[in-house]
Amino acid sequence: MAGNFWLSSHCQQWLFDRQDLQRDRQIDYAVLTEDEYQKILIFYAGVIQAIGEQLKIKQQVVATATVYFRRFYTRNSLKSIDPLLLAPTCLYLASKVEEFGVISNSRFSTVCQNIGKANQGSNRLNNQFDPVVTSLLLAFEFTVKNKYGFAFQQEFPYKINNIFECEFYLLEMMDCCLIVFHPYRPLVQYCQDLGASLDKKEPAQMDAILQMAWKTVNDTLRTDLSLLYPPYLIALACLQIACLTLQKDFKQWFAELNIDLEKMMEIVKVILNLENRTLSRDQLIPTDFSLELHLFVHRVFYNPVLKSFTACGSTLLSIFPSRWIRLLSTVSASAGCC
Amino acid sequence: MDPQASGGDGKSRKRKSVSPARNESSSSSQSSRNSFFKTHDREYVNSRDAPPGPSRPPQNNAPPQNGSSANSAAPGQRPNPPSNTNFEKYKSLSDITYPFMTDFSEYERCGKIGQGTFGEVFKAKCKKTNRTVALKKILMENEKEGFPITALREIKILYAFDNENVVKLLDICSSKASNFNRYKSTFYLVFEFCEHDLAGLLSNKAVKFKEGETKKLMQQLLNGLFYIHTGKVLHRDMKTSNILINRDGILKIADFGLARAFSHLGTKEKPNRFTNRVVTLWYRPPELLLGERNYTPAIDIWGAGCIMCELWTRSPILQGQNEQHQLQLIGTFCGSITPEVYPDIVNLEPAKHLSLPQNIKRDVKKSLEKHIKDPLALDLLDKIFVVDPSKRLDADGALNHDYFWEDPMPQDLAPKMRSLTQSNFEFTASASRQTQQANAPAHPPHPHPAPGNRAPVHNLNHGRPDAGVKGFFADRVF
Repeated sequence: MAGNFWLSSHCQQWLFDRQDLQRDRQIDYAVLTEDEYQKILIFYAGVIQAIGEQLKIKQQVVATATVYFRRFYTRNSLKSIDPLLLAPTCLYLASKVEEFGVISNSRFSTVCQNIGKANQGSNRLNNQFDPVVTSLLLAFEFTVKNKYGFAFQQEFPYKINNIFECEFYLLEMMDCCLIVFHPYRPLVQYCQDLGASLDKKEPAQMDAILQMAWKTVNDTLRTDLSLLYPPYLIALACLQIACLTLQKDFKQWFAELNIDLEKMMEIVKVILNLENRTLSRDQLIPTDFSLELHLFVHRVFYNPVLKSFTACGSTLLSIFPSRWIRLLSTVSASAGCC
Repeated sequence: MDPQASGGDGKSRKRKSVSPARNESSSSSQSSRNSFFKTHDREYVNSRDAPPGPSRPPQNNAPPQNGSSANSAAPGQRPNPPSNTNFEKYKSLSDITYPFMTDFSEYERCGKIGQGTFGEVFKAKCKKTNRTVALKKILMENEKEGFPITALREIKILYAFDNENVVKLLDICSSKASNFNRYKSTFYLVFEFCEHDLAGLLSNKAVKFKEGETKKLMQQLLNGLFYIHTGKVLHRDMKTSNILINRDGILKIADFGLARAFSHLGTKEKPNRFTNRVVTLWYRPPELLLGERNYTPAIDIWGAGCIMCELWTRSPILQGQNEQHQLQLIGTFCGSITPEVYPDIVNLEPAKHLSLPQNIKRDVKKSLEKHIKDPLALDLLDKIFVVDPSKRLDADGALNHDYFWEDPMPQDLAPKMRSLTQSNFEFTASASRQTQQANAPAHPPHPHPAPGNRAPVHNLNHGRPDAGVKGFFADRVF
């Protein structure tokens, strides 16, 4: 849907100032440093991305899911719902909203085979659930166990019903604002425009720039940028970075744009900072990510409650006394945090 | 292009007037957030063990699980780090509030007015503003896919749309989870209220439209479709019961449960692959019946044509019993469907397995002449009922047709609508008729078209698979 960004809920309700974010995260910042908080979100952005790749979900859907994830935790403390449950829920809701709803049976069984659960998969397919959510769940179980086993000391604990229930909270907390605008489309448009102003002899050059910028846009999903700046600016900043990296000089073209260049440079700074600090692209996990920290978040916050939830056959809302957060901060401090 | 500048005053959005709780201003959102977290900090024992009521004191009476509870903080107060801790305490589901969402109790339910694809529709009144609204209850009985995709589509598309001829989604509200609903809250979509739907109006023989009024109806319908299609959305469920008319004579297209957005019109290189199991059978265009998946907004125009005919005939013109029969009816109406009139048919795999009527001459105008005298109306219909979707008129083209620009000019519907004292809905009409016609045969043989005869309301329900009617969902995708 084309839609008008300027009239959209994205523009009117979901672009914040840094101060807004700071204030909204007070509860978490009371116990985590901003850096630690970001690392946790980066970690889960990585998990969502990994699942997306495994199920061959369109990048658009993955991006929407990641933005949902951030939006939820903008309004809520990390302790309100286990991120490990919110992540598949975001993906599921995004797949429905972006009309990715139909996953074919053959694709589904490929997924099951890939993750070595063919039998289990066909059993589950026969039950009454949507194949999309079933495969999502299987992929999470698999990934959590194999790829992120270091971070979770137990198997993926949630069931489809938990996802369905969590979906309600997600929808509500996002105020039912479902349409997310991404930098991808403006990026392609800008590239076309830029290409038109270029020498026609070098189409390959333009492709390289687009690819580079596209990857950079993917990286921005690990930052707060989608909550702070409109997508067209993010697209331009990524384009700028791509041009700098590939050492193309398009100063003239950028200068002619009628935009707030200062703001764009702010975005560029954030992205460069992200790359310097954390990213090794192949690993999806920030290199200096403190595993202990994450472990504590997960073990201390969620597991005890989970146990009781599963025991009652009931569900998810893991509400934690804030004292646990305080406890966490002391423990992680004493553990030295890598 | 400064987002601050252009987005700034937009922050006071229409939705704010409906639910001040959603206010984005920092102070109030801060306070609502605080109250939210306060409730979270309160600790209840799970409802299954001890169902808490609102009057129940938070936790002092709660039987401690595992028998290890000692520390309980007063509600709303940050508990101090205790020496002895209780893992087993967590909050009751019934205590969850939706701080950003209007509560259902703000509306007063008046009566049921319809049965949509994903739930019942009620007339209701907002207690704060005294505004009459329509509440659409989102049924969660089908637990297969979580929050129903039909509701998601409606939410995402209608929040983005703002046009006089498209029904407005004012708000979304939820009822509190309690032990009456098994601790599951119900969501309601809050729409502006319209007094009538077109199916109800047409079944009421006392309502007669003048030529100018008919034109106005069609003009508004096409105008709404033009807006929808320009916004790159396909409605995919055009039918008279989805066309609402309020007492100011404004027509509104409703029910976007099957609608979907499209990013581009399908081309040969990059065709769309949508599901073709959409649109109620009687309003389904030939390309869908032939299995096309790369369809265009033209599918809605076909439906608009069917609706236009109904303004005269008062009952659906092409009432097929199944897809094959529907194609036959279209064949006798628009002439044989051959590669000459519809070149793309050779690419449609499903079409090869169908036997289509051959050697029938196209006769749209003649078969409608009995009911429609206006030659321009016939000409417009002739251009809408074109089998090849690429040659079918689009909404813009139809709006520019002479029909709307010749005397009698489109005429305001408000006087007529205000003269009606009773609401006309298909749901209420068919309910009363069903009692009247209890003895009538369930599926009377029904030659097409049946002028002025709205008798086969049963038949209507048969063809219009509304939820609840014999569980007939065959035409629906979901």
